[in-house]
Amino acid sequence: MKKFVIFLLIIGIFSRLYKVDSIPPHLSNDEISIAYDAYSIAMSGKDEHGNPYPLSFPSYGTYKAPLYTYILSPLVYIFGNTELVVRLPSIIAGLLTIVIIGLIAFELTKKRQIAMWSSALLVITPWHIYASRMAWEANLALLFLSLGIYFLMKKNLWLSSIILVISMYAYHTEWLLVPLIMFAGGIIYFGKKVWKYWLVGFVLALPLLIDYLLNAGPGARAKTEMIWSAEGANIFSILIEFIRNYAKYLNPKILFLNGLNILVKDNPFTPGLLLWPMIVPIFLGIKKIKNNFFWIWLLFSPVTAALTIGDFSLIRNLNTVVPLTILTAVGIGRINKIWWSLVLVVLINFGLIYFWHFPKELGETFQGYRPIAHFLKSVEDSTNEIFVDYRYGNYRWGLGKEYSGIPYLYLAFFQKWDPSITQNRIIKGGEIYFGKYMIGQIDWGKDIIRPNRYFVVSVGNPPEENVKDKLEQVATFDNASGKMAFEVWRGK
Amino acid sequence: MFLGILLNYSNFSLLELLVLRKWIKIIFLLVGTVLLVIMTFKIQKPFWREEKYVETVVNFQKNQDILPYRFRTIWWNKTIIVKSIVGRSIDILWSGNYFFLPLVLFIWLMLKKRWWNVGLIILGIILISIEKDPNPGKYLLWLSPLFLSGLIR
Repeated sequence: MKKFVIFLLIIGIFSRLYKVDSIPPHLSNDEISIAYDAYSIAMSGKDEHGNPYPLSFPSYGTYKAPLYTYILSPLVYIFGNTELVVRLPSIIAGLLTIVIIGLIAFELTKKRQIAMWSSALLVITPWHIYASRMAWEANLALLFLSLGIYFLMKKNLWLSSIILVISMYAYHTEWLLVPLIMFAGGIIYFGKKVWKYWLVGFVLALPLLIDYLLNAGPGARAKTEMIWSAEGANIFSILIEFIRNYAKYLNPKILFLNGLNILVKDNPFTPGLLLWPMIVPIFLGIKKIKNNFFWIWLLFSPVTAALTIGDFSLIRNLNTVVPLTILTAVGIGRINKIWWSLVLVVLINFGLIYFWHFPKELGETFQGYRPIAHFLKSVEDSTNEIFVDYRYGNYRWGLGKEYSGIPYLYLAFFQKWDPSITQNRIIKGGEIYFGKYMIGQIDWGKDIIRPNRYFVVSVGNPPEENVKDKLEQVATFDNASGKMAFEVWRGK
Repeated sequence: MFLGILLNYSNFSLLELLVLRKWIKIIFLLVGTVLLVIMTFKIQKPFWREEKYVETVVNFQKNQDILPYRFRTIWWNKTIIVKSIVGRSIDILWSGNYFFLPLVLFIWLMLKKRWWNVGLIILGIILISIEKDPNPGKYLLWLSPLFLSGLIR
């Protein structure tokens, strides 16, 4: 048993820590916005827009939940502005969830072996590995949700309500899921005391509710994300859309074959959210679990995600991974050695795709602004103006896609700007000025070239031939695929 | 239930109705099987010969230079087509065609252990999925005799 736990721990730590600062390559838009807000809070007590200690971070229009940022803030202050630090809370949350899933499984089945299987399976689940290696708020919320559910099963009224409500401060999916779980779980586990349970939960969630009602931003964001905000939506169309989405979130193809979008779209090698041999024990497990609350939990889990617009989101639906893993562990009793060998082969296959192919194939969608930030820092004193194009990707002549980035956040985070620079930004037309930096679309047809003015453009927008003699190229930067991604030019 | 209604309102005896039911089931099964054969001949171009698919697979293998050439071509090529077929087949049932009726019926047939029908329907769905640009809306109707036959006890 001891050996098994140690082995589990090694695999868990390795799969979540190995090259975590470079795979996924660079911080994503969501990660950098959390990172910079955490830095800004640590240095000034205000977010990038100058809001003091907000409960909802407007960020770049995405209105992030606050918990991750506040946990990250002291870490950034102490350990510095690096990718590893930004992802650290998620890594730790992922590792702790592995322990908690075991506790929940034991509480459900009272079998130590199933508890062990649950933890072991979560360790090797691609969905959870992926989520734990990035600064996803959803992964932090998953930890608190699981812990809250564990205390609910232990009939600990106070701890359960407090921790479940904390998960609502961690990610927006829990805004609906937690009330549903507290409603059903409260009735099942607390009987007549349920009113107290609900009241504690309501009081603790009140600040979120008040912030939501008083602050127009999160409400506006929520409205555009939900299925009823679609044009011409009526009750019938909403219901149909919900059923379609719900089915999509439980689609075996997405769960077992190609839901983990770490490769380019429609690549047949894309792995599933769970390792595909798990399909067998999951179905075997269905008949074995008799606990009503477990089924309510599993069936409620994809509800919030199914109410949102857009393609399948493995992050919005992340909370489903825990009940699905427990279901698999319960069904594993009848599985033989051949199945375990298959799991091993598929796991190695996944490792190969994740650690080898993912950074290469999807390198273009991750912006390599960190080296640019360091380079610009070294030349900053020699110039007064640096223009940065926010578009990236090889979109020139229709050769590739054009992406919209938020380079100012990468520059601000990795160059450790004084937060007052972002808080006092100047917006003129489509351009935003942060001290020496101008972020906007660089149009080479306009009269913008001045001596010693720097321009950062992607390979999709190189200088036109007629202006090249007025410029000199001072640096180029590759993306994780090894292809050139950015060029830095200076006016002669 | 239907048998009871027929027994009340027709001149057939119970035995005759049972024989009739059996024959209807067999006829549906035969029609469904014939339609499956026709579907097989109607496949124009399998998806694994599609240009984009081939290009994606080849590009992926180019990035696979940490593994021996033989391993990566044999291993990947053999497994990936099977994986794609399974995925596309599941999608046909699961993507909400005809308001999920085929999916609900399929699950019902499995629960009732009508394995012949289940097997032939799976075969039919695989055939649909092999087509480069499958038209599940049209071809799922071709499988309706198999579903109907499964519904009859």
